[in-house]
Amino acid sequence: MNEDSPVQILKNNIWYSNPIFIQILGICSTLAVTNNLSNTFIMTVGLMFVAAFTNITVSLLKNIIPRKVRMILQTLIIAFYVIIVDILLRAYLPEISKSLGPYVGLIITNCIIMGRAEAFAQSHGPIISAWDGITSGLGYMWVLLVIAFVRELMGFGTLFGITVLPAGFTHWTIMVMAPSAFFLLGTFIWIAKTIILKQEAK
Amino acid sequence: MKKDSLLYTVIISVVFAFLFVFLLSLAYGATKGKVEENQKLIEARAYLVAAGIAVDDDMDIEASFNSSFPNFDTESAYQTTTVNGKSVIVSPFQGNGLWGTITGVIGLTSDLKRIVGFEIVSHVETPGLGGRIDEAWFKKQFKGENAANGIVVKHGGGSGDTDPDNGEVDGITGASRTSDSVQVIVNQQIEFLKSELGGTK
Amino acid sequence: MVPDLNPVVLLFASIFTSNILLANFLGMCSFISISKDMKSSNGLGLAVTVVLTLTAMLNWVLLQYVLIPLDLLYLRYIIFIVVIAATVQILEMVIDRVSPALYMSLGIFLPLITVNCAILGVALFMQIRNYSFVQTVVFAFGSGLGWWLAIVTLAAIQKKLVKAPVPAGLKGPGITLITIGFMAMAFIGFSGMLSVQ
Repeated sequence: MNEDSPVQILKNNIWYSNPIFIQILGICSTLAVTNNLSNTFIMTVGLMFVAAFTNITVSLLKNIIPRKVRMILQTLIIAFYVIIVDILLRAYLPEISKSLGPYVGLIITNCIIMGRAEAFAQSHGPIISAWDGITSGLGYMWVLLVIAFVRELMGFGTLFGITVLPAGFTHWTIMVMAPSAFFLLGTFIWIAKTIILKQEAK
Repeated sequence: MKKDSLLYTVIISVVFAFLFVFLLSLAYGATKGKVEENQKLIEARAYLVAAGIAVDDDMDIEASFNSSFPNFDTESAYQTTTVNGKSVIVSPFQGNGLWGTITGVIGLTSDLKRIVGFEIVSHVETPGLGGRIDEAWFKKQFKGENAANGIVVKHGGGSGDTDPDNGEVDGITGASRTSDSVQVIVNQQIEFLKSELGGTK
Repeated sequence: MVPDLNPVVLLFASIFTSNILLANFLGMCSFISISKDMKSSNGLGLAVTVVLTLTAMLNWVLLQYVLIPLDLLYLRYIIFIVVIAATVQILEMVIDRVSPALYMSLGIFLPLITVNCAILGVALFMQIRNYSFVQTVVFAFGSGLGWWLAIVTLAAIQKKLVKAPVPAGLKGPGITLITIGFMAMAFIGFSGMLSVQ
């Protein structure tokens, strides 16, 4: 199948070349908020938005940007869209903005966005680059939502803030704290890689 | 003009920089009013909650605030208002959390022996951990709580202490420092109000 | 309001109990790929510490004397990033001039530091928590030391893991992350040592 067809791009970004468990990119900024499904969802939607628009912009401007300052201008473009997201959150979703704190700003240093801008948008048209940005965001989102699901369920007994587990359930405090995110992500990578290795062996 | 020339690079960089700053300042200017309005609403809402007045999403917070606090004195450390015939002392507090300042509003009965309401306005505690002091279940515990001997925030956390007479509330699991901070800040504020009002009446 | 934090306590907290990597998840990308050998880990740790301290100081000054007075706070992301990029660029040139040998071994890592989320993260934390200058320097330096400590410890553990019978799916990033998880748990143990307030 054509490497650049929309379907193939979707498959790659969601599974075969997933930014988190295959490329191991961009885990910094979002692992911190994965003890809560709502925060994770908002963060990853924000990231999808920034990735898509950055890709479109870089793709449209790729013939104008001089080589020497390519990286810094790309960073500026990413920062621009992140600031827009930050401003929009502050104005229209202030409670979420409060609970995400500085982590929205850290989307700028998220290696996925820079990585896709370099690897894809620099050599493809704007529409397909936008699709690449969106699907990368989706690949990123579903992994983190799974981790957040486990962490919020076992750490707080709730999902999206709604109490799901009975009151007798003892909360796993470790799920609320940092180490659990590492363990869960490591385990996720283990499972995903084992599946992929099995598929390749066939 | 050659794409690789220094002049071109400089020009493009300057154009980009200007464009971005310009667009961003537009976005900022357009939403600035809304952001300030949000902040005012958050504070007004906190005062209403602290006074023990029920707040729901549909009500006109500003109107309710103005009718409950008609003589709001910005110089004073506390405001007095009457809710359901009873006098309530409402006071904003601020203090050191684990990482930065925690601010909020607390309301007490006029003899300062029982808390009427409690709301957090701002904090920079860790999201999902200390940040949970801003969650409904935590703040609700303070409502009606016996504060005659100060408040104790219990370590180990829980899902909310429902006994209003024991003077205890459940802290946040895994965030004992933030929980301790809240205890210190609340008790300090109550002591401060006691000295302001000249002891319990 | 500037928080009332004792600098010594803040230093301890930023190295151990609130380690920028093990507790705040920042600075991981380069961490996972670089932490294979001790020498480059040491070099990178040193570079990160220096860059962190320098950029935090610069960013604090810009924040207090330019951004806040002129109501340009919303531009802080761009300003901070530019300062970081410029500092790394200058540092690269200085190292190349002073010690070409060091430049050879650190070579490719230096540009990586620019996108290291820990550097921007420290600047953003400093701004949101409203630190004073002294607190900023202590926090940045401590965060750098903590990152350095974490990366060196991980490199040491990785050396031993090479000989261990790790399942195929777990090899590489999988086991690295689980190792980091255990390290994070161990560091939580430090919180009993010194009260942060």
